[in-house]
Amino acid sequence: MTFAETLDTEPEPVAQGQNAVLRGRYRIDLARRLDFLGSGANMVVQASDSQDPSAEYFAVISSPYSLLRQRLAERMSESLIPGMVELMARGVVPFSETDSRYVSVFDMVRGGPFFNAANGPVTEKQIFDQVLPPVTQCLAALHKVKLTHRGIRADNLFFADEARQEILLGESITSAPGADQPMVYEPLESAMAHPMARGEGVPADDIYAVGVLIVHLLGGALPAADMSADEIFDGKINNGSFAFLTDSMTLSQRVSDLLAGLLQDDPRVRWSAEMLVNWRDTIKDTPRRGRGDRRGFSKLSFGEEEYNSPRLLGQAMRAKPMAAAELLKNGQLAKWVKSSLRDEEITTKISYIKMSAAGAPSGQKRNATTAVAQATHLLDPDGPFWFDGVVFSLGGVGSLLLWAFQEDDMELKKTLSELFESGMLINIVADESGGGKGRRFDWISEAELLSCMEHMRRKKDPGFGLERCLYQLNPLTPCLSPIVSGYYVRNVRDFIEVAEKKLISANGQANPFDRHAAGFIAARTRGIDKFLQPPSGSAPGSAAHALIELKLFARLQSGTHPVPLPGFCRWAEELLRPVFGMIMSRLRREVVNQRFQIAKKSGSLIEVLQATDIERQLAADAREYQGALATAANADRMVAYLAGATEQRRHEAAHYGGWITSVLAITSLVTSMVFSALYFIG
Amino acid sequence: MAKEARQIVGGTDGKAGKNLALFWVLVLSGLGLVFAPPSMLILMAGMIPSLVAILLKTERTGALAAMLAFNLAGVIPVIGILWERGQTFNEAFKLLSDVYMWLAMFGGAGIAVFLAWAVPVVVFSAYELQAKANIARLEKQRSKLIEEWGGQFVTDMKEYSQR
Repeated sequence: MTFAETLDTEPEPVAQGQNAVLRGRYRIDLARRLDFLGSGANMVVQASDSQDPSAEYFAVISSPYSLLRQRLAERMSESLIPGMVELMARGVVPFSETDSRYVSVFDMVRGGPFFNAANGPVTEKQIFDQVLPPVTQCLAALHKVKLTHRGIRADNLFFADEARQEILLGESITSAPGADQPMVYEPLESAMAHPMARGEGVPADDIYAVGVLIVHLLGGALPAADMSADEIFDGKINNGSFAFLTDSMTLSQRVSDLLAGLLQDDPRVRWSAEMLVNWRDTIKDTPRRGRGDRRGFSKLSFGEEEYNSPRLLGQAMRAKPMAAAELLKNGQLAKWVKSSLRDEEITTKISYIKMSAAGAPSGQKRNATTAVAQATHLLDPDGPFWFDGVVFSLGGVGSLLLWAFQEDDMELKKTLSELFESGMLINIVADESGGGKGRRFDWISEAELLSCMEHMRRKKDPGFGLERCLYQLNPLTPCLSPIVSGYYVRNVRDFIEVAEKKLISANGQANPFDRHAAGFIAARTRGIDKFLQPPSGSAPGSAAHALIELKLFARLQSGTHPVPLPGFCRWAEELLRPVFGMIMSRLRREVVNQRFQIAKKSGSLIEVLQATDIERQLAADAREYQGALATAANADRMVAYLAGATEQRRHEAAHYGGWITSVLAITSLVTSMVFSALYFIG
Repeated sequence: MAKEARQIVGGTDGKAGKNLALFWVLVLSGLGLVFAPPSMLILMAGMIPSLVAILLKTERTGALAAMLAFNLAGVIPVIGILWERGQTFNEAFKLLSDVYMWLAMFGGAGIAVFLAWAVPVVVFSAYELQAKANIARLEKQRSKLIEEWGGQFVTDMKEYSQR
């Protein structure tokens, strides 16, 4: 069972009381599933209102790996978006003592889905009278505040009422933007991106989706359903989206005009929501139809094909990066761009990439990948970014990273690690921002990319690496550490609370400081990085690392959750057991352990740290150990010396004995002389 | 070279000192024979053990000096008795025929011989006792250190000693 699978378990049965109730009002009924409203990893169930028994709601229970679109959700909470299901409430709901999930409650779409392929095509009249008005109203409201829906598709249209008269757009806040969209609904800019990495996009993306929606509804089936993504992309570029999607359809003039405006391939020329609302009044001339991509004056041979579309060439180069690197290296690409596209700026940049790749000292494959990534981005600057087989919109890096962790895709994680480390995205975002084009508002910021690069640079340290990037780029993602598995932990305070419960139940045997927990805490707590700096040369599992963990949680306890934490203290005991074992002095070890046991009772990690004073004790112990070694070695030397110095002692005894005898002799002589003199003369 | 030179100088000094002492002994003996021949008779007879010791050329100069001193200490009272009775050859011979006088004179030399043998033995025994006590104390200290610092300490101590 993978880590992702562990977290994606079904909620436990609902207990009585306040469980399964959101904001004390909306009861989530897990037994009544509404699968027709579900998508992705989320689960949709019925909900009821304790204050209004007649009201009907549906609740989306988010997977921890689902991206929550905060800005859109906030807007929906603040005011009713016309033409879109109403968001009633959202928040974390406890389902049991050991299970809590993030739930979004929406007003029920009582009439069910609008479109059913089995019922055949939708009439033009229905589209103009029932579908377009709510959709255009919704988009106008969202685009006005620079928000996008990114979920406009046939199976996300519902009848709001049981009479099936009013149509509403479904929600799109509980999954990554555009993640549930069929590829054909995506414009050329994001079509080839990973579904989880399409990014927030721009309003023009929604308009394009409306165009495809109309084709879908009129045709009664998903357009180009039998084609692969590459075929759809080629078709759209070679023929233009309008021609490609409506080729086999008979359209009225007004639908044709409408679709020409909506399916325009150039997002700058594509209609806006405002134009769509009043198109019949404002659009006098037949809109110009999109022609896919711009064309070069001549073709460039690459692989077995010839290309005059830079986008298609870029796509082909991404498929064969080593051949693309060769194309770049031999100068043919720069030559073609200069002669065929006549773009001096791109030619200069490609030449520079070629020289940089040629001058790079090592890492042949990586250099080739980087050079191809940069070159293909120049060929398709509005399109998704490619790096070593991964294609993503620059605004979708966060959700792609989340996906990589959900799937536990090691290859994808490795690629993203290399990407962040390379700093290439920073150059591209900086280049785009400084090039006078203006930065797309949905892009990831330079500051975020810079911090990710820094986190990857210190990837071996706890609290850094790809996990830190994950939480940095997805500020609403709950902690995915196994210690809080089953709980929707969105802040450090909750983390401490939940981890405390787990540690108490596991008698301190769990680990609250795995890479996810460390990354989460570091990303959600300001100024915590200094507590994560291990002493140079200290290995994981060393006393230094154990102290980092203990100090970090002590800091968090004092800063965010100042209540006794007996579970953490029990964990600290397990953590410090090997550290205590490092104290060589039996007496000191006993004293420190005794102090720890007393401090543990307080439930305060700070007190534990102060009482044990491990660093000082370890330093003193090491110092005294060296002293003891010196003393013992000296004693050994002395014993050996004394044992082997018998002859020397004998010699010294003879010498000293002789001296004593001499003294005695002189004394006796003097005494004899004095007494004789006194006796005979006196 | 310098050491050799010092040894040569030292050797020369020692020889000169001995010669000087011998010179004075001969002068004093000559004077004694002229001015107090009976006393010199007693002295020469009493100092026989010392003369024997000198003739044996023992290496232990300290022992020789002790012998001389003790021997002389035994002879001086006999000379004092001679001077008290009148310094004549007759009295000198009388004294030399008295076994107690010989005991007094040679007894001093005997004590010297005994002390020269016994004192170093006693001192050596004291040294041995002291060394054994020190060894016991150091081994006890070592045991206490091992008990305090654990088994690893023994290994580390060996490594430390080998540095």
